[in-house]
Amino acid sequence: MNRAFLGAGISCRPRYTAALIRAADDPLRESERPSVLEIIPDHFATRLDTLSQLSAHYPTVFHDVGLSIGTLSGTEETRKVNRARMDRVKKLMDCARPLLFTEHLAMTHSPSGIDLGHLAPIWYTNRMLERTSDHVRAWQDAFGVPIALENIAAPFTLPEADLTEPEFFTQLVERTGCGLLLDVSNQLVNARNQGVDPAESLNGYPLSAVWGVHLAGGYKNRGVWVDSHDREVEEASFALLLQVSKRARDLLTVIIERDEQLPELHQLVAEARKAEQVVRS
Amino acid sequence: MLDAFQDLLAELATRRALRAEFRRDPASVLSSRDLDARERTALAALPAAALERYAASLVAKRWTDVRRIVPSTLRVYPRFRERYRAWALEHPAPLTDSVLPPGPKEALRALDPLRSEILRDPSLAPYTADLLAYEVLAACARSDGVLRTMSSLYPMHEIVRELRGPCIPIDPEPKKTLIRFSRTGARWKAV
Repeated sequence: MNRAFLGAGISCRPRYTAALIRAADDPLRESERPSVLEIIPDHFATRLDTLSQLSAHYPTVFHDVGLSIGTLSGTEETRKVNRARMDRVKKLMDCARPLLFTEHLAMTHSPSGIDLGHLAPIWYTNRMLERTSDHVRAWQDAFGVPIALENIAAPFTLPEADLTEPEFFTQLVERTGCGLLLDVSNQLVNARNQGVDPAESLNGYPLSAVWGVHLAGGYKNRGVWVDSHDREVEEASFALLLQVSKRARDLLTVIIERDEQLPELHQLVAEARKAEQVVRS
Repeated sequence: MLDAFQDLLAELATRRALRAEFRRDPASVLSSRDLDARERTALAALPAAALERYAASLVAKRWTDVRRIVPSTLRVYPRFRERYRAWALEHPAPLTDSVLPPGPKEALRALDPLRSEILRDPSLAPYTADLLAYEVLAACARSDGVLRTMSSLYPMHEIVRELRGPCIPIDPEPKKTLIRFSRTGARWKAV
């Protein structure tokens, strides 16, 4: 693959949609116009018209949080729910025509149907590698756009694994041709919590296959670093971005994620522009 | 067997009682599942403190989504978070197909059980349970456009309006009302 860097953008939140649409055609609102938008399908499940307006003005990438690529198989009922979710995501993608579909390398529900509501780490075994590769191929067929998977901020690591996380990603990329959405802020959090050097922790990941980067703020709570997505991106994350961008020859986008304490749109766009400068430097 | 491994991991993350049992007697919990030796070893070696932190973070994340849609309930009942948390720690969410965003979806799941609990709590304002229902149903209808209705012994529209100001209604006059929620808002009529 040989793609041009589109630029840096923001993960679209409902609060920003009206302002983003207004800014698209208004030269006086240039400071509120990101280069790219990340769309979370759940936010637009019943707002196809809004999604259509946004995607008419901005290049988009999709980022889902509930397809649970790390769930092994499941009951008929959980498979049925997954199929319905995939159909819904596909419908939204047909509307927005995103350049990339991304998800987390994680489990968000159990095979028997407990919805965790968030990300659980997967067990890096050869069997999981096979099943995850199967799922990626199925998504590639179903969605018809490149797929990239994201590293998570790991609450714990499952022992007795066959592979390390970097090895798992490397194998997955080699087997399926998928890309990596590298959350450098998650990487920073994990490295700090594991007491390793953040810059060195990137070694071993298939950085040449990084198609997207996530940046977000975090903080330390009772001795543990948390990816809280509620504050500005740290300089240490920008430093990691610089390191990654030098090796990620197919980097498409950098996205600023913010879920809490949402600032004014122009402030978030300013952070995205700072990231864009780092990549282009 | 890997299915059973993932199921147990999810249960440990979402059931407080099971985590307590697992801490006390991991062998007994592990032997009750269809796991091979390696899976048992991996689960037994899970760091208990990290698992506990993770479980708390799952509920905290859900609460972050829920609290956004119940601002008036929180004014009347500031400790609602504790009640939700105690319930959520023992009631894992089943995977369901829904177009609702996480906040309304989770609040709707919790509504009936928490409404019943609140109704039985004499220390709370008598309209608190209905206020919770009003905010949750309104948020759901706004999100998915599905019409929803509720009845109340109180004029909830007046109470909600009053709560937007600085005062909290102490003893509102009962007035039975029927409320209908849609994407565009709430309509009510006296019955």
